Amino acid sequence: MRRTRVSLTAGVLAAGGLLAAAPARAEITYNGYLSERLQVTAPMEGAPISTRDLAILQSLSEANLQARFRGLDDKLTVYADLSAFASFAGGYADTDPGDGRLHFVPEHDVANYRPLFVISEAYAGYDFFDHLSVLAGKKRVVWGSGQAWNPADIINPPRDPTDPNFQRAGTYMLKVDAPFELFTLSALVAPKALYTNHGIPYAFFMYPGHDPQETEKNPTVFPSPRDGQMHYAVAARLYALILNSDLNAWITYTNRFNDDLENKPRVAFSFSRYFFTDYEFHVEALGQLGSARTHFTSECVASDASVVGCLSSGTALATQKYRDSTDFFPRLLFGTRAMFKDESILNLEYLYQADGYTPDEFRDAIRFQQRVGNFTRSGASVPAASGGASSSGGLPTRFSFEPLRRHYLLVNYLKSQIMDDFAVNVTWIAALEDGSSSLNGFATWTAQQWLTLSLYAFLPLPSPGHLSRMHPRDPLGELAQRLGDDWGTLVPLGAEADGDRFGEYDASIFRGRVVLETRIFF
Amino acid sequence: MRSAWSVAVMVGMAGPALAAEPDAATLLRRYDEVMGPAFFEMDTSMTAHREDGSTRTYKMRVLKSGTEKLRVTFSEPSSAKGQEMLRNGDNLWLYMPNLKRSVRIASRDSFMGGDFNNADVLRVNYEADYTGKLTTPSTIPNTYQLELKAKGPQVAYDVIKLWMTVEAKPLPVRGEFYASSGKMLRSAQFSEVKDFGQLKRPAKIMMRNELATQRYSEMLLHTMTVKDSMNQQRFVLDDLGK
Repeated sequence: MRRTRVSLTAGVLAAGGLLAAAPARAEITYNGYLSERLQVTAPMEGAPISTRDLAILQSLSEANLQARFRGLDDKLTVYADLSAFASFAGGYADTDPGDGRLHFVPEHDVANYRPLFVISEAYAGYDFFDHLSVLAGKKRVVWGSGQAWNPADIINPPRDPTDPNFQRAGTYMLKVDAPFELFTLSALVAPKALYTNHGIPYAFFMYPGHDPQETEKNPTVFPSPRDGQMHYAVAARLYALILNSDLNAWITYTNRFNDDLENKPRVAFSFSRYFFTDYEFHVEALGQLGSARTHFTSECVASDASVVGCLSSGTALATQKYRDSTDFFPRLLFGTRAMFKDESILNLEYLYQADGYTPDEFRDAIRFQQRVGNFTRSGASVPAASGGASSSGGLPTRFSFEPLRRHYLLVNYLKSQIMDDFAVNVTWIAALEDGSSSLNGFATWTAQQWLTLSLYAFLPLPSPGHLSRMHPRDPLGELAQRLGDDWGTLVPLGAEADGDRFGEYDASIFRGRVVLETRIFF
Repeated sequence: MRSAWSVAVMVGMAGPALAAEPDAATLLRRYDEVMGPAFFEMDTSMTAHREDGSTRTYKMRVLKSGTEKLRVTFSEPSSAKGQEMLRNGDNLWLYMPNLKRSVRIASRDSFMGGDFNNADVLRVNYEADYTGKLTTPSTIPNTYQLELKAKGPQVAYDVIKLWMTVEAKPLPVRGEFYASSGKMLRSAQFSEVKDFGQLKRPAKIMMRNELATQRYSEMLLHTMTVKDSMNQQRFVLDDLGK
């Protein structure tokens, strides 16, 4: 950390049009870090989706600067949290449809590994009165109480649940707060950043009269995103501290902001409180009518030939069938967090999302991935995913959590101060409907107060159904054969696609990932 | 209370034995006045000495308003810069800059991994949280010895033994902090009395972890400004991180 106290003369203040009564002192502080991530990824052999753009080796270097200016009797704050990334990646492999084995594919350019500039936050805020402050710029505003995941957060880039401290990026907004001792009223309007170049936005709110560069280069893979609509979110929120509880209630109105829903009001609520001195309990809920989730047409994704048939007949492969629905699709997360006597922390959360896929819908989604994977492997140009659920502009996450089903369990355990300088964090994310899960963890050594070394590991754990197919002579596989069709009534099997069984994390594109990160703080 | 001090001052020259002995409530109030005046701003640092002999130092600014509100902002080390803690009554929050949000924390949790816990730093209000009685004779010469019992579960320790100097304006010299089982968890030494202008008080507190006796933490007070009032907006949850 560096701190500079700057004496400003009254003349400078006057020249700036600022109040003469403002104190002739301001404060600038800055800090940041340099980090280097070395990542090794083992692609998943037989993954439904192609792994040809997944680098086996990646080096990701980040330079981060966080600068803050405070002045005018602490009423004015200007803040920026900026990161520049340089990436070197190499070694690509994909499953050969012929023998079902992984084979190296030629080195090629992948957009995800290009240099990137991320403005996590950049804003100016001013306290006009004791109970009125205004903020303009990019800021991460989180009103939900979820620890690993915030199902009611529909405006920020998604968080990495394996490291909830990581994602810092916000969204562009104009926000007004009226804070009081026991409650706060907030309102914001957020235009969507529609075009970015290496992380720098250059079109907001409405699409300009031209396509982005990648569309002009390859309209098949990158179809034009332009429409005549305004892309924005408006939100109003009430926070109250009642009976030692944090209560938030807010309403958000979006039009094609981070998903394809149009003119959509959504209500949300969060609660957090300590019970029995040491146990924190929290609830976060979102209520909405309709859903932007994409569903796939069963008869079109059953085989590669049926895809061709649907394309030639004009039948849509995928639809957002609940986009304009008035059906109620709530999301709910509740959980608890406790610190034990050895200062380890356990966080347990359950997530429910009503618009998650049913077994048949999930089967079609997996089959669609198979189809896309097969066409990609055959060299065909396949349109890039339209996104829809996640917003851009965030830091590159080590792990992406995009829940497809309805029921999840998220468990996080942190043990710090092992031999004073080591910490271990384990996160287990389980898709409860198919038994697949993802086990992730990291160990961090704080070698100096300015230096940390971390080793991360990410491991998808197969569902029982997938495991029995992977290893036909293992105990589960044997049991599956003996039980026959009854097997499915005892253990969730996931989706059947091309003769295999897939749970959600069985469809992962990597078998495992290890990351070594060095971070130097200044 | 003033009359008690007046009497103490008037008879002070005759020696401590002749001074009117303050009662436990008066001493508790005195402790709070010295260690946690109603409104103040201070710069302080905490150094945690670990079992392997190495240290970790944190620098912070502390703002306090009344008996129920306190805010701590960390400025060093760089890895902790921007972290903030807020107390409002029984509620404690930690603002994490890498998370851009606040999470609730418990009063018994460790304060930045050192040997103080959150309540030691954020909740200096013994008169409100404990009932006290004088123990005689004191086990430390020329001190008053107090035994404090917690009024409720929100505090960090069930029992505290506190020693304060026998003088016109008593100052704390030692504290022992116990679990309900009677096991001593921490002990504190108060030293290096300094005059901060409006207030004379110990500038150094050494907190020893009695469960891991090689560990201890020192809190050093660098500057302290007692104020008549504070900007209440600084003690609002939404103000953290600004």
